[in-house]
Parts: sequence; C-alpha cells; structure tokens
Amino acid sequence: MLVYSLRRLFQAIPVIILIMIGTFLLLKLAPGDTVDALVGDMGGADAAFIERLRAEYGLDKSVWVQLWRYMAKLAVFDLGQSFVYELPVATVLMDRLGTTLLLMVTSLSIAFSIGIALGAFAARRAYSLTDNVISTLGLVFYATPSFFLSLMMMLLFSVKLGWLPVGGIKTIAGFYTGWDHFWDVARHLVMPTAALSLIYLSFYLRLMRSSVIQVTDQDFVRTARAKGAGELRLMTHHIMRNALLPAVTLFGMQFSTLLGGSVVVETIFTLPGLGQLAYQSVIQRDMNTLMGIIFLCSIIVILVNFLTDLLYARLDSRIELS
Amino acid sequence: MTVIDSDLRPQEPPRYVMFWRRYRRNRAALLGLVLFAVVIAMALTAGLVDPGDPLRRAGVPLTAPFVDPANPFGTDQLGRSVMSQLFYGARISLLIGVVATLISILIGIIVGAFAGYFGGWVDDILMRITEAFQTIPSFVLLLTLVAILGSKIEWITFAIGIVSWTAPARMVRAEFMSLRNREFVDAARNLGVSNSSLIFREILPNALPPIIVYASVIMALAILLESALAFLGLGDPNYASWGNMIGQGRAVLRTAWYCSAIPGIAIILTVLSFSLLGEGLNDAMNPRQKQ
Repeated sequence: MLVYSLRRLFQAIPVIILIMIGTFLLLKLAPGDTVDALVGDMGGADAAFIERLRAEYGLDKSVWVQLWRYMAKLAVFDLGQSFVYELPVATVLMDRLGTTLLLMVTSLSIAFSIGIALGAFAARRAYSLTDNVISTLGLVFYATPSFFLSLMMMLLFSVKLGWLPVGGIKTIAGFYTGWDHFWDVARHLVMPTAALSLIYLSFYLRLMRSSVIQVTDQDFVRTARAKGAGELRLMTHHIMRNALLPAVTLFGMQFSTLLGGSVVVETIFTLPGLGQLAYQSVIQRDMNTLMGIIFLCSIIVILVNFLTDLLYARLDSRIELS
Repeated sequence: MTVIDSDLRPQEPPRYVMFWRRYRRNRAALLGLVLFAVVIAMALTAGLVDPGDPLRRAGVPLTAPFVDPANPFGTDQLGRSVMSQLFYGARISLLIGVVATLISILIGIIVGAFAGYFGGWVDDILMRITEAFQTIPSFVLLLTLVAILGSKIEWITFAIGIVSWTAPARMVRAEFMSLRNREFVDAARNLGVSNSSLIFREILPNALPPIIVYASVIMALAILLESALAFLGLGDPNYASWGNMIGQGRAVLRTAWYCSAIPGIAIILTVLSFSLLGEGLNDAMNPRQKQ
C-alpha cells in the first residue's frame, strides 16, 4: 500500500516538470520581459543600461538556455529572485503560505463536515420538504460566485452591522498577543472562510446526498437492518463508510480549484496569502514569483492527493492498491 | 396484417417527444428551462431595450432603481444604465459560456478519444498532460493566460476553454476504453474501417450522452470564471459584463449596493438554470439511472 502511494508520488515528478516547462514557455510568449517592466518603472533608461540589465538577468540568452538554467536551479529548489519584492521568491512564498493554508484548512473542514452531514441528513429524508429546501439551497450556493457572496457579506456584516472587519488578516497596529491575537485573526477570517466554504459545501452536499441514497438501497444495508442494527448504527457503520468514498475523492480533486478560488477571496478581503500574491504577480508581471506560486501550488495539490489516496484505501478495505 | 399489428402495438411516439416527457417530469428542470429562456430572451432583446451603447452615460449617476422611468434599475457611478448593461451582459455571458464550452469539449473529445482508443504510450503522454492541467489551480492558469494573451473577448473565451477541458477528456477516455472492444467496433474494424472512422463515426456517437449532460456544468463554470475575471478588472473593457458591473459596484457598495446586487442575482439565476437543465437532461437521457 505504502509502496504504491510512494510510486504514485514519484510519478508526479514528470507532471511537475511538465507544468514548469509549460508555464515557463507560456510566460516567455508574453510581450515584454522583466527588464521592460523594470525600465518602465524607472521611467526609461538608455539602451546600454538595458542591455546590461538583460545580460545580468540572463535574458539575452535564447529561450532554451534560459529554460535550462531555470530548471537546473529549480532542481535544487532555487526559485530565483522576485523583481517586485527584491527578495528570494522562496522567502516571499513562505511569508504568504501560512495565511492561505489557514484559509484552506478552515474552509475545507467546514465545507467537508457540514456538507457531508447535511447531504446525509437530506438523503435520509429524500424527496421530503426538508430535503427539497436543503437541496435547493445547495444549488443556489453552487451558483453563487464567491466574489459576489463576499461583497454581500461585507455589505451586511461590516458596513451595515459593523460586526466584522472588512479585510486584512489582523488589526493593523493592534499588537495583540496570545488569545487576543487568536480571536483577532479568527474575526478577520470569518467572512473569507464563509465565502469559500459555503460554495464548496454545496459540492459535498450534492455528492453525499446522491451517494447515501444509492448506498441505502443496497443489500448489505437491508441485511444489517434485518439483523436488528439500529438506525444510528446503520448510518455510522454501514452507510456512511461506503457513501464517504466519492466525497473523499472529490476532496482531493477540489483542492486545486479551491486554491484558485482563494485568488478572488484573498484579493477581496486583502488577505496576504498566495492567492492575492498570484493576482498581484500577474498584474505586476513578476514572472519568477508567479512561477514559484504555480510550483508550490502544484506540490501542495499533489501532496493532498497523495493523502486522500491513503485515506481512501483506509476507508475502503476492499481496495488493494498495488 | 399491418392494421392489426399497429392495433396491438401502439406506435411509439417520436424520440424527441419521449425525451420531453421524461424531461418535464422533473419540475426543477422545468424551472431551469424557464430561467434559461429568460436569459436567452434578455440576450436577444438587448438591442430593443437599449439601441445605444450600454456603456454610455444614460442619466444622473447613482439614480436608485424604480425612480427614473428611463432607467428602471437605476444608474451606476458613471451614469450608465444598470438595466441596459444587464441585458447586454446576458449576451456576453451566454456567448462566452457557449463558445468556451464548445472549445473545452472539442479539446476534451480529441484528447480523451485518442488516449482511450489507442491506449499505451499515447494514453500515458496524454494523461500526464491532463494531470498537469488538473494540478495547476485553473484560476491561476486563467489569470496567467489572460495576462499574456490580453483581455480581448476572443482570448478570454479561448483561455476559459483551455482551463476546462480536463474533465470531459477523462470522461471521453473512460467511455472509449469501455467501448473500443465491443462487438460492433470489432465488426467495423474487421470490415476494414479506418481508425479515424472508428473513432469519430462508430465510438464517438455512443460516448456522447454523458458529455452533453456535462456540457451544462462546464457552461455554468465558464460563466462563473468569466465573471470572476471581469470582477478583478481583467475582462474586455469594451463590453458590458455582469462581473465587471459587480467589480465597479464595489466602489459604491456603501451607498448604491443595487449596482452590484442586481448583476449578482443575474449570475446566480443563470448558473442555476444551467445546473437545473443539466439535471433534467441527465434524467431524460439516462432514465434508468435515477429510479
């Protein structure tokens, strides 16, 4: 089992190399390079200086030489220098990673647990009024763009009611420590987390509802009921364990979408995370940082998929991974 | 004889009638159809509602809805009519949704068909590429593509197609893998039918139904992606777009929240209509699946 998972992890290496080569070549298609952006910021410079800058950054070489150099550095996890922050890209990314991970973990846990509970609840009362209300709400949240939900929450909870801060990760110049710091960050995360989790909740809800309905019809559930298993035990031991499998798969698959969704939400709530950084790097043409974000996100997605594989095999003892 | 035959076995109604009968059994799907018809009607009548440019100044800036009869939904901070932008925005959303979906399904069919039909190293290579596209967060890739290609509407549509073909590719591949060794395919192959005819004439028509249902999901996602781009200010500035209206409305959220609320509701209802349509199509095409 572990051997299988490790082999899959190694199979991910060519995928990452493919991603990085593809992104590198794609970014080289962009009109203008980093030096153009730098010179633009400086308000122009003479041709000799521009030439010197290009040589310094290695941009005078052919694309293939540049690609080779980039990949060689990447092999030892050297992501180069951010031109905007004038720091190593790795430092900039690590600075932002915590916020995004915090947002991801809270949103996904909420979406996953509530989505699954509501989905199972609705499935047990399939086609009743309760089920219709829950399912309809799920569809509506699925159709709501995260930025719109964010704005409307901001309007209600920050502007009209004044309960929650409009943005940021903590109160500037608040200098809170200990529990005060914790509550401060938590208050700032309520709306971004709600915006992301309400939408992903609807995925799990819909999936769980249909898979619980499907499993409930199967013979082994009828057998268990006939043998006198209580409804609660039936749910927790027989139905849930099987119905959870598709939801776990979705968990792995959705992770990269969720990272993408954090771009919009972090930008709206000015959260200093990777998503906001991705947006800024695109706007400011900070190509090294953008490449770094794509690299880091790919690794995170692959790791999450690796973990879901392990979890999947644990949940479903019929699976012999080999 | 024929008279007796048709008496005993009533003629089955045409396929589209059966299809419609199964479709209308799902009341939510009917609601989806109605919503969809409304959005199409908005897109078609945009020119009648406002023959002028929806992005011109049409009245006093920040007029509330239902105050000025010339601008029933009010105006934004630049005095542009919210209603005309809403109608013209329907055009853009539908156009981008439909074309991007076609692009993504076309790529998906080609990749999935080749991978599933040939298997082996072709499958390996195509699947690694698919995995690469699935691993990059699609919205980050979309931002990058738009930054490189520029914000023209054609490029935005193309970029949305490029980031959303992986799911249909996987579905087509799975269908092809299960169909490629069926008897009818073997029979055709033994008759000397070429690979390309086998793929596109024999197998593909049988692999299509789930893809058609899934198209409604891609369409919904495409509209959401376009609106998010426009919201971030990366949409085509020459066209009225719902996402862009919400993005602009953000600046006046405190005083004129209707500027963002109205296009927001339009997006929700449109995406909802696609989801409901998709469920209805699924029920109608796979009647056995849901009993």
